[in-house]
Amino acid sequence: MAWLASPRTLKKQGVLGMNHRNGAYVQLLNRRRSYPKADNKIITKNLALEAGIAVPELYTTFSSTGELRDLESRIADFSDFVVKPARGSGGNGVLVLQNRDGALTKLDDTPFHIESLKTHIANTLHGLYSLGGKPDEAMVEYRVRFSKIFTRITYQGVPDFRIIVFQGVPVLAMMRLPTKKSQGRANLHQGAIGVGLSIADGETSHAIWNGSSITHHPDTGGELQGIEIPYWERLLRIAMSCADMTGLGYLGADLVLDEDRGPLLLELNVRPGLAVQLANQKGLRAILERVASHNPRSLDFEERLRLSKTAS
Amino acid sequence: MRRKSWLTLGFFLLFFVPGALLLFLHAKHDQLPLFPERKGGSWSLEFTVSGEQRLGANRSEIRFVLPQEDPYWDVVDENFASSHYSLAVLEEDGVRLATLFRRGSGQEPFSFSYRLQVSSRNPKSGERFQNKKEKKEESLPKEAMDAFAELFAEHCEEKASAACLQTLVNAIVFEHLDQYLRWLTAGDLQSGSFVRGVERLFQDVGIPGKTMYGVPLLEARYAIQLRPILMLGIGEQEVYVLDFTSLKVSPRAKYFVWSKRHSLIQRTSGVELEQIRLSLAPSLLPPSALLARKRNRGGDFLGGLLNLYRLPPATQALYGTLLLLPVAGLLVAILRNLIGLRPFGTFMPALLALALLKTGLWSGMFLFLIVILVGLIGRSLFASMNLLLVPRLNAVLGLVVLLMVGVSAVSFEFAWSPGLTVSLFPVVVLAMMIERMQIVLEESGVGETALRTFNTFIAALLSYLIISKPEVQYFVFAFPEAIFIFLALTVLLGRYTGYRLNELYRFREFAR
Repeated sequence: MAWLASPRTLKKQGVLGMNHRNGAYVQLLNRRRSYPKADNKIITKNLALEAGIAVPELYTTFSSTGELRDLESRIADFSDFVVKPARGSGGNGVLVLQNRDGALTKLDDTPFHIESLKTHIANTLHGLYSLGGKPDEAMVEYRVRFSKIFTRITYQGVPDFRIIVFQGVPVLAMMRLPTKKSQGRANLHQGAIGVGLSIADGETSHAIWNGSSITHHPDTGGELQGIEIPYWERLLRIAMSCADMTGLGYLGADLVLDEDRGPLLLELNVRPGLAVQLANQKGLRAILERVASHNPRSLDFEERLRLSKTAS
Repeated sequence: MRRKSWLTLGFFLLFFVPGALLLFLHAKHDQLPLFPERKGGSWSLEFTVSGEQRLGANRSEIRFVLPQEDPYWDVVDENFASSHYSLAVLEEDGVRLATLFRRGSGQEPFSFSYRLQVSSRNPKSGERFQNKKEKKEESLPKEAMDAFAELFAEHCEEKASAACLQTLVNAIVFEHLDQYLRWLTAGDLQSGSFVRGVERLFQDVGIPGKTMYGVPLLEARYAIQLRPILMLGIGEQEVYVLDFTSLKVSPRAKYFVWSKRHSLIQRTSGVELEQIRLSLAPSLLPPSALLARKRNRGGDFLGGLLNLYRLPPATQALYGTLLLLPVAGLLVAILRNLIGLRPFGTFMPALLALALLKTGLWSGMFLFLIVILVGLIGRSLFASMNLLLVPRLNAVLGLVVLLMVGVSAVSFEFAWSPGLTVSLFPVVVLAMMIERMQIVLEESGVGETALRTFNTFIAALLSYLIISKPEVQYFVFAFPEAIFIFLALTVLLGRYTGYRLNELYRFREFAR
């Protein structure tokens, strides 16, 4: 393999570069004032509930440090939960905790002091984990229990599905699997695995880890190819609804499959689409141009779903 | 060409055409060359006084001495600015005096500035100094002259040179100072009478000289006083200056001679002077351009709007630096969008590069690395105390300041100058960089942090290499309108939607 690909080759393969993505898709199709709908997870959640999309249940939110006084009572009823910054990115500032009769522990059962949680939430409120360091809110929500089919291919975290939706049409998707190296997080640059998914039937194809191809999960040894994702069409429909409810013309929807509750929407991303190409070994630009030529804005929901299966 | 390319070209020209046109006209009108000539050839000097009229006075006046003709420096521009006062310039015994006066009472505050631009020139004939006829009562004690003659014979046996003069100065000051002070005056080294005494010693060994008051034009200074200097003529042409303030012997051309008198203010009445300040800074504009302006009686281009050298020296220095920021910024943008470098912060490397201009490259890099390293350790200490974000940031900031104080103190001890010249803004930049580094460190590990830090320093280094070029510094200062051209280039860059260099690597698997 060559050290560098020539720009001409990449163009021929239809690979989407960051400059082109930002200039031709993100900036033109996503209006700035719609960004909070994706960047703020609390707003996303409320929008999703209005649109009838299932989300992890929101237990409580904190918007000022004064509210931390009743932190104990607010989390008392839940045996486990996730603490997140409303406007965080890349899994930064996310804590997963268990509540054993008032004593907090992490997932590996190491104790976690309530004061540390207060500091963590206060830091979140001050914007330590938010985009651009702006003041933020903290949310405490339902901890997703991943579906049994993933036990062989994930390490200590919830796998999620990233579906890129362009003009309401799903164009490319991948599954992201946490590893030991990613410390349970599903972010590729933090060491998670990216597995390409066929839009047509939700079957896994190629997988990459740390920038190179793999066939088996490095920690569990589970095979990564040829897995059929259940509820695939429902996942696609949720992703499409996200595009409709936010008005974002180019977005990535992050979904999970919960053991009990089925597909849930986790969060939205206004600048997706680079790593997913590597996972699929497929250039996104070519697909986007193909879909655009069908004038997707004039199509209804079902037509768009059909288009997604033929165009990608 | 496709529509998008046409649009890009249009946007580019929108900025480029007015910028280039303005630049062309400006350069032509003011006869400004596009590249700098030798550095240090021209200087801005500014003398400012401010104060208040004394209570009850109904007439106030300040009289000060204007510089005399200096054969080594050509005055190419001279202007006065005053509030509330009238100005008259008159000549008295060959000395030009400026008088500011105001009739009427009232505690009116006033300020006045006198600014001049000088450019170096080769004197038509070297300065000649004649032996003065000494008055009997002024002659020095014999032992002083004998001791000096011995010293002179020892060091300057064959031929007087700059090196031997320096040795003499050192010998006078460091070995025999007590004696000479006693012999020459009761005053100190910086007093005119001491220097005049030394003048007589030199005269006695056959080297005529002259004591005047002036300033060294070696580096920018924002509060300086006229100092007595001894000019010595050696051989046919060479003239050297003995400066007992800096204890240096320098060629005459490095000094601007102001007058025979010690004080710039000759007389005041009815006013209380608050601030008297003389400042000087090298002008980035070449002497030829200034001279052309002097000849150009047709007026300034655009009313002098683009002639930054008319601003006070301190402001000039500020703009000289500030105008480099868009250049450094453009460079960082290129590194991000064409190469795919990912430094911390959007323009942090550009700010670091500006800071490097003040500290020098290697010592600056070394300084930053130390500060960042210790800052990181301190930050994790504060993090372990469970401090909240803003107080913690401030704690890191305090630590960085303390560290810089420490570095400055140590470098003063070892006479290492870069440590002393840390400017203000990198402190905040460094504190924020430490904070961001720590977050990346926690979230993405050592490898990613090291990579991003490396990226940051590479970007700062490259920006520094560009903006430290005298050609670049001259260009942005002489032609502030060049910003339009940088804007045009930025537009071009902003419209580039091709691949970044790092993507050619990232997507290399597609090349199979």
